Amino acid sequence: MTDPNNETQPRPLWEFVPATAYTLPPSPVAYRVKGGIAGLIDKLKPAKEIPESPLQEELLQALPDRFRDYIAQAPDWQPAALALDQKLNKWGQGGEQERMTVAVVSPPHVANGAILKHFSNIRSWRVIPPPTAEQIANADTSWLKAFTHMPSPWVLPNLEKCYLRHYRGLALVRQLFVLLHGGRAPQGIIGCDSWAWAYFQRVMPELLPTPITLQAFDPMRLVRWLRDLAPGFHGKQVRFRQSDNGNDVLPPPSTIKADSENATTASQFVKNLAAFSRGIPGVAWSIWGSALRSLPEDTDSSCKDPVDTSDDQTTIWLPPWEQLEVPIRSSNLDKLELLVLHNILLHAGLSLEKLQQVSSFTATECSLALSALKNAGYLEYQSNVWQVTAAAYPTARQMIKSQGYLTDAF
Amino acid sequence: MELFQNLNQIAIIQIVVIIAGTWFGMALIQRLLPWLAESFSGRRRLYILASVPIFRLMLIIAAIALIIPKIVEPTVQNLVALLGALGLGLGFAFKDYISSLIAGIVTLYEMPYRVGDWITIENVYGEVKEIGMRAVEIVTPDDTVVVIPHQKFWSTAIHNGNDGSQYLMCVADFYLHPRHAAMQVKASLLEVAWTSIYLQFDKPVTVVIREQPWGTHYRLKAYPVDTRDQFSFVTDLTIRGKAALTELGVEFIAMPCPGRMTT
Repeated sequence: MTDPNNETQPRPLWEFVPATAYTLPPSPVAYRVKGGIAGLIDKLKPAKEIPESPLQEELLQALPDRFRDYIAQAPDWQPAALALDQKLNKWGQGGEQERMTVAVVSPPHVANGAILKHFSNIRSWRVIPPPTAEQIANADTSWLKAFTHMPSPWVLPNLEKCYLRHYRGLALVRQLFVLLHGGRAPQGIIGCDSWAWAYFQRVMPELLPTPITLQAFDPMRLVRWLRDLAPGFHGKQVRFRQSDNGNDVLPPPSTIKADSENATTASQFVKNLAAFSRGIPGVAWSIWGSALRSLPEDTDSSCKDPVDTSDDQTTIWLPPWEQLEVPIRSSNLDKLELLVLHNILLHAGLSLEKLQQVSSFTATECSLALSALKNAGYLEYQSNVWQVTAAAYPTARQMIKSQGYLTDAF
Repeated sequence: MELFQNLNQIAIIQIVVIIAGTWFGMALIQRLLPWLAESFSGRRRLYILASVPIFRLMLIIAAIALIIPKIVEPTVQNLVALLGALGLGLGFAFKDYISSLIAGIVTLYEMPYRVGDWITIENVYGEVKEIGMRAVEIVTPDDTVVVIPHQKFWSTAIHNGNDGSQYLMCVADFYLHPRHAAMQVKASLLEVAWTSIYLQFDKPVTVVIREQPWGTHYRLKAYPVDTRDQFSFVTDLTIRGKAALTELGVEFIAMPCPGRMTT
């Protein structure tokens, strides 16, 4: 909850809050209502000149990968780990009444595991790896000794990898929670994907600690973060402009005020991006990267500086949000595909073999569904598991929710 | 005072247009709303489906209200005389038909079944697809359409599995040799249900055990998210339940049970 006395205080970019205080960015509908009122006021004012499109939009093309990776650099989760460290600064000093276990729950594409591994490095806490598939299936309690055999604090970064939605796949994680609930393990942190956590809340609610989570990125946070991801190009500032009207999508670096909390300073594109991505940084970053455009001559391989437009700045173009080809805006899936998608989310990724285990689908049915979902852009095969793509995640979540299946809280 | 008005050509055309418009409206509702409902699941789907007969009834009432003043002088005496004569004549000729029509109107009020409900009438089980003025149309799990006159409503028990809600209990039966650890079996069956991909978490999962002369009968009761998944759900519970019990070393009874438990 926001303290009204602190409204003028700058909000940190990375902020861990109780899960109940998680706030989604305002939806585009809310913006439209506000926009409607603002539009009415605008009509009463003298007409403004509409800026003409500064270039031929059809000439724009997607930024080559190597330049895109530089202009929208891969997220660094170290600052998030520092924020978590700060959040847990006083934890452990509250006496025996205080819970010895903290759960950090985040939606997909927040890299919760990476954040907790950074955190373990900061605090020099030991990291406990997830159990093997055999240990899960056999409810092998020898894995639990990793928590108790040493008195030092521990971090379990990926709880979602410690279970399987199978009749033999819950016993071990249930025993873990019994162990932690009974206070028989030293101080420790559990990291968990929000979908798996939602499932645990249904099947073992009485054992779970109250989680904390990384606050969603609202438009202004997103502006600051995306700016940070584009530090400059060959010593030049990068300017992001909308291709149809030439307006800045991100304010130039010099105009960003760290203490600004006024969301109206974010462009409509960023507001839409924040709302569509549900404030999830990884999702927003993925869509942002795919939206970056440049003129063909700017990406000519013979040109040393591929997006050079002037001596002191580099301009990257973005299409208007409505014209942006978000990989999946909506699509109809059949029941089999929907259930496969749901289970992959609940496990934060599944192999074909495990998918068969958690469902009663045949190998052929699973393969066909995976293939269809991959072709539709929902899934990608990474690190030997099928995962929901960042760009498709908001649509996938919406579809699963609309069909009444269990969804996460974020 | 004359009962009927002089029907001129314009009035006849108006009546034909009203009837055609009503028919078109009903056909549109009949197709549009179920199509829309398929885009949703659970409660929203059922609400949309249940609104079909209500909209149709409203259209019929509106059409009658528009047509009657064009045929008769709309006075109380005229209406009573007309309806009385119609009722007497048609009542004898189409007793069962009229009975079904009246039952159809009563079902709209009492709602013993709605579109989207899973009902059993005289051993026919299926999903209510359409509620007409005379009959209810249900589709069985074998994709057979069964048309049952509303008249059955007067005298036959109607079993409604979900009664307008999205919650439909499903039961998976397991027949086991009596020599086994019942607690272990119960725990295992609960785990089977909790890990089913079809499970509706808003409703409880229960296991009912009854000892019979021939063995032990387990009934695993749970709800699917989507009522249309009930057979897939029971299949899933059965496949995985049998696998779990086999791993426990429990022996299944080979002979089918002649009796039926009604717990």
